[in-house]
Amino acid sequence: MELVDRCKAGDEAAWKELVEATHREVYTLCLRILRDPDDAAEATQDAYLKAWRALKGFRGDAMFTTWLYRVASNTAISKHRSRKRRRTHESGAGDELLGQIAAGGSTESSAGARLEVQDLERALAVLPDHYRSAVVLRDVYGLSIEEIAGQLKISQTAAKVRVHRGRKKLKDMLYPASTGEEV
Amino acid sequence: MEMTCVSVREILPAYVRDGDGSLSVRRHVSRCAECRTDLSHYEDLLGKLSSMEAATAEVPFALRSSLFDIPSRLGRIETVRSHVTDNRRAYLSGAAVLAAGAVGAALWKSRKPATA
Repeated sequence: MELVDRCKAGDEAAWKELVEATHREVYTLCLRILRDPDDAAEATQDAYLKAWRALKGFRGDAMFTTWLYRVASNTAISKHRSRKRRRTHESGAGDELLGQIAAGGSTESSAGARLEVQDLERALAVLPDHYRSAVVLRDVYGLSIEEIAGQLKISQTAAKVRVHRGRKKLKDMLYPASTGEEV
Repeated sequence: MEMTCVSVREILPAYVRDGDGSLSVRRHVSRCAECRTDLSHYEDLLGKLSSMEAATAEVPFALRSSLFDIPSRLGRIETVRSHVTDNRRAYLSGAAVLAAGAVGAALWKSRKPATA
């Protein structure tokens, strides 16, 4: 019996296995959107609560992790929206944590590649919030423009523009010398 | 009409993954080394971004165990909720008796003559 099916049947040991296999990715996704470790932990908690409640409705036509990412990003974005309404301060703690990702040894890549992930995390951290969420969802977690528009509650055109501008800003930050003569 | 570098570079962030403006951009890029470099930077960037999914941050220690605990926590909440639902009539009757008692006490107190 598959892990997800065992969870659906209420098997708590299977749930632990599922959490063990996915919680790092889900927490990191929330942290990339919210940039605050406490908010990210809270969003992760809420996402898994929703996931457990909605598991019976999961039909298996998408991969479980893809479905879980959608639940998590939706939760993190809602949290981000309400946090913005409260106008609380932006924390730098999440940026530090994300900056340490590669040093934490979670990737199997070479030392050179690790440095690149760190550079990217730092560049993402200074990207304006609305661009960062769009780029992270599209290019890191593979959500479609339609899904991003739905989650961010914006039009598909606006979602496309945010991804487009976010990529451009990131490219300009990471490859500053790439402007040449124009034809 | 041949596209200019300025217009190609405006399109490249969308072209790199979704192929927007495919033919004209491809034609320009095949002839322009600068735009080709720019495109390779976008390809590199997107490759790295997609590899970030596997790179994870350190999770707070308490979070993991509280996630493990979700089914039993929700189970306890569900037990309490179903107990309240099953005994709703008894709880409502009790609440009504308490409310009636409080009203009675208030009335009795307001009618009691003040002692000198």
